[in-house]
Amino acid sequence: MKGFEPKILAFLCNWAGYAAYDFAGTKHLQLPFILEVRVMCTGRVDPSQLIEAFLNGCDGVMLVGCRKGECRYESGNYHAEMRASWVRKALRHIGINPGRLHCEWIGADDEQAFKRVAEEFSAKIESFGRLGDADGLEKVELDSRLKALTGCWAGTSICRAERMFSGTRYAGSLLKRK
Amino acid sequence: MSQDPKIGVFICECSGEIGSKIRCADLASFAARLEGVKEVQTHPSYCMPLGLEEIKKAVAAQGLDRAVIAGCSPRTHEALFMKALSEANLNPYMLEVVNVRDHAAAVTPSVENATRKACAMLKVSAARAAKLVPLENAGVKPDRRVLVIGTGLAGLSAAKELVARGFKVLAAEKTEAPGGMLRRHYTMLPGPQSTEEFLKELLDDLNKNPDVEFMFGTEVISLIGETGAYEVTVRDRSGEKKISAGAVVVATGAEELLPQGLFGFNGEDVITQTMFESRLKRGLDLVVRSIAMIQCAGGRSEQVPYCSRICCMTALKNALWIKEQRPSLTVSIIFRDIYIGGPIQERDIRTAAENGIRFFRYEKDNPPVVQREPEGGVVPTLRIVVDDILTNTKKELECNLVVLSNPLVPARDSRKLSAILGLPVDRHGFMIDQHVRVKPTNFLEKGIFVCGNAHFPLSPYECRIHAYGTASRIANLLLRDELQGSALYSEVDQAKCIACGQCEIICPYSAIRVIQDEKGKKARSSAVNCLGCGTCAAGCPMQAISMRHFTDEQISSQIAAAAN
Repeated sequence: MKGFEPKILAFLCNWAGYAAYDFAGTKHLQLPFILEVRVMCTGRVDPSQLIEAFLNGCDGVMLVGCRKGECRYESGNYHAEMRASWVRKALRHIGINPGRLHCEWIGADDEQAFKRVAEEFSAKIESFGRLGDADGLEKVELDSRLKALTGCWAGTSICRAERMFSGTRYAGSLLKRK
Repeated sequence: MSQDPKIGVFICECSGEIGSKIRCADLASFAARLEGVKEVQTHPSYCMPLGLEEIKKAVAAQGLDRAVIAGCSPRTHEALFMKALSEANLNPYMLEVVNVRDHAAAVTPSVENATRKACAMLKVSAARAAKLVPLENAGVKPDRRVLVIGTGLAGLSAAKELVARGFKVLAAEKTEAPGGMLRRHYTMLPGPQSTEEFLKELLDDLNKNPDVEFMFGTEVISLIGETGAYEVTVRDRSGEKKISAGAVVVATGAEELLPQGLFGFNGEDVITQTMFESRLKRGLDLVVRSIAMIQCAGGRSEQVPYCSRICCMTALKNALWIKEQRPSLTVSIIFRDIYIGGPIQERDIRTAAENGIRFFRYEKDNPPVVQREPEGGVVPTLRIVVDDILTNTKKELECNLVVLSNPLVPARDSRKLSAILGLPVDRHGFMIDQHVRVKPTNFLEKGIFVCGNAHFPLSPYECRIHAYGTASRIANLLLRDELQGSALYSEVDQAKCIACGQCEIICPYSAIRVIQDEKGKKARSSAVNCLGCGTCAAGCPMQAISMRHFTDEQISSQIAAAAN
């Protein structure tokens, strides 16, 4: 698709993603057009917010946080990754390419990694094409499916949440720790 | 909000950094059309006193109730602008800093695109700014007790200085005796000063003081809380216990890298400087008639790329000491580069040359070779072949003892401890300041300080200066009546909470807990312990938790503005 500039939203954690973006700027690296939302930790990002981004028309969403094990808040990035993996599953389910949601864990001083991620993801989304069109979904259909998905997260009942948690090895280790 | 937001947009040209790459006039006219924006101004540099004055003036004149500053990174400049806003009688959290310098101007080659990106970023920020709410900090009454981890020279010096200022000090030591590296050394830099006497004097002083409590065989397991009110869990032989402290000093030191496999190191006649010092303490064997010291033994290599700073000084100190005691002895120093500085060190190196200490210089790619003479009671038993680049000749030195100047590396537990305390480490494993140029001796947490070799190899003199500096920083912090805590903490909507306990599982700091009290079983969060990550807010199935300053509403407004 020529001349298509994807709308990419990046949720950046203050300590790594945002810091690396800052460094990329200080080093005057060339970066593709992405817009960011700064959060203290990628763990702040709700699954419904990820879906909301698609619902609002973003073609790709990135989560960039600290490297695994180096999270400023110990485990926030694990939570973020787990939530993103739920959302990816859900996206596949409703017929949207799950590759539109990407997580990356980088070092705070690793501006080259940030550049690589931004470029690769941007190129990937460009090759996918516009959200909806490329997935063969009409705007109305796409919106209604995404809206249904948002509702599904907002009202997550506790037994469902528990089922989701117990299904992952990570949650098991968390529960054991307490 | 009952009133419509009155946003002031301040576009900083950053002395041309932004002004030359973005058309600020276009950005300003774009900003003026955004919803809720009442005032748009442009200034060459808002971070300068004059620029800050402009912001204050505009806030007062236009009755603005929130500000968006399009300039540089909030990571570096948010605090400065927050201060300016509070001086203008505005809540400091009614501020949004958008980094158009690093995220738009610097990374986008064409002016056209950079301006377009800056506009989009500004739109996102203005949307967020409209949703900001004033926040108050959680006040903390500081605990005037300080936990010092490690009782080497840095830890003891810091403890001494802290008790002199009236603080109570809890000194946790992993081993069974205080002193750290001081116990393994014979003399101390600068100049020959007896380590044993120095340590004894220091410890006598501290032991007599009722404000110092030593805890031996103690390890730190976890830390929660915030500056002024930390709760640290430590483990000793009797089990785990919790202690509270207002500040924490990390003085865990470094350890030497044993030069295994280098220059025939065997711990007998090829030894390290530390081993050499303990031999000096016992009295050096009279058989030894010739000593050679090899510098950079393991340091400035692929494994340890940095210069450990103190090895040259230590070698010189030991060489001078032994030469003074036994002038007939031959001492050679084989070095790559001598990295020392300062008046005492300069004097030492001249004295060394005058007293007949021999210097040879080798190159990194061509290190000296230590050969062992065949058995048969030949004395001296070692032969060093060195390509001396000072005279450009191959030299053969015979000696009985080879002393290797090996570098210091971070202590084995330092990464573990840094993870517990949430301190960043550099690529070698030393704990690092928040910013080398802007904020030395500031670490990520305001109440946690690192001093001595845990930060980087220092000579004893520098180490004490570092410790005293740290003590003074702590005094600045804890001698106040109330500390301003962070305003970023999670809040639970008690009406929505169903006490499921997900948040309690998620929070690594036990800052949010499900508690049964007279009002029922609900999750309660502690403003002091909460670090403000917001992971619980995203994990709450009932969306009962809101993360202050990063609320769902604020983030949603940003998403909507970014996408449309």
